[in-house]
Amino acid sequence: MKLVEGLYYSNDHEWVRVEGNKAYIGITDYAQKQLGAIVFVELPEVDTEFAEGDALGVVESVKAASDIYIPVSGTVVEVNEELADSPQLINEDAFGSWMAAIELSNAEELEKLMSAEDYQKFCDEE
Amino acid sequence: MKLRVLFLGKCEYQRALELQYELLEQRQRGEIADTLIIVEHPPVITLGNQAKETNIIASKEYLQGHGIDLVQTNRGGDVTYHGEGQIVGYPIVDIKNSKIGIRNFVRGLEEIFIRILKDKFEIDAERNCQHTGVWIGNDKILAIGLAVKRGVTMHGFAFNVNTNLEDFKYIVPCGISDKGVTSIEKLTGKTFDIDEMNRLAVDYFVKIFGFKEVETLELKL
Repeated sequence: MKLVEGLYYSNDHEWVRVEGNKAYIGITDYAQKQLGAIVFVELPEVDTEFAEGDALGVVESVKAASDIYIPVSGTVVEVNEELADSPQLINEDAFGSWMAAIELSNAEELEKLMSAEDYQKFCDEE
Repeated sequence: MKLRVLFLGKCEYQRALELQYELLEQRQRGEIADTLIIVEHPPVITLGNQAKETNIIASKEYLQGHGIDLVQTNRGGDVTYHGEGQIVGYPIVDIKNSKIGIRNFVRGLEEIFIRILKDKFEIDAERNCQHTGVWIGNDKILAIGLAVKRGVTMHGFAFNVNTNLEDFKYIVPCGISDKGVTSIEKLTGKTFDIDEMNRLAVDYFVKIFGFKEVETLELKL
């Protein structure tokens, strides 16, 4: 299983990369493997405010359309438009394919997420 | 682990969809056990999340004139058709806490019908690595289109027993133009009792997903 050190991981299989007060969010390599070939990504709108646990978007594969939940609260400042045209990028490089960047509204929520090591253990149990 | 099975008999797509949403929310809150809805729909064409309208060949007016409804949904997949003589199943199953995962869940659904075809009809069916579902050669017999919301599945599968395959000509099933559809009736030349086939599908569902207890309810909406 591919993992990247220094990211935060949620038990819904999302990753968060923090740069200052900005956080990039995507789905993990484990998640893309589960889903299989991804055929469609529904991205959020810029300037939309989300609370932790809200549905941020949808990733649809040949197996199912799965809602993606935002693991930390914030306002969307940027979306990765490239995914709209090339959803398979998530299969090719899950950790390089962020879906949305948000301005964090409560950085303390990050503490509830897992480290790469903890996430590895979490996945081993699945 | 307990499974509740709700047999709806013949029921309109929209009514069954409303029930799915009700049960989905109850399952997400942990108020009910995993539930499988089994239903037979009057003719209806449904569009998945990213279905292309061009995959519906007949005009809306023509379909209306032939009593075929058209419904936009939030499931995965493209365009499909439901009608009498088809086993339609909507599993409202928590795949997150049970840790089965979407991949194994879909494999399990396929396995149910691969085994039924083998055990009861001596028909060899297979998976196709590019398209979910169960195939006999180039023809699809089981279609799958799920949605996962907060770890709980909805929408589901459709298996052709005595389905009127003629009605599939109004669409490009699942948006795949170079493949066809088939049914048990077409493969064996016989028609089968849909209630019996529904019970068989439930038996295999229980066995394959390892449910220990089953509660069955008949519900008329």
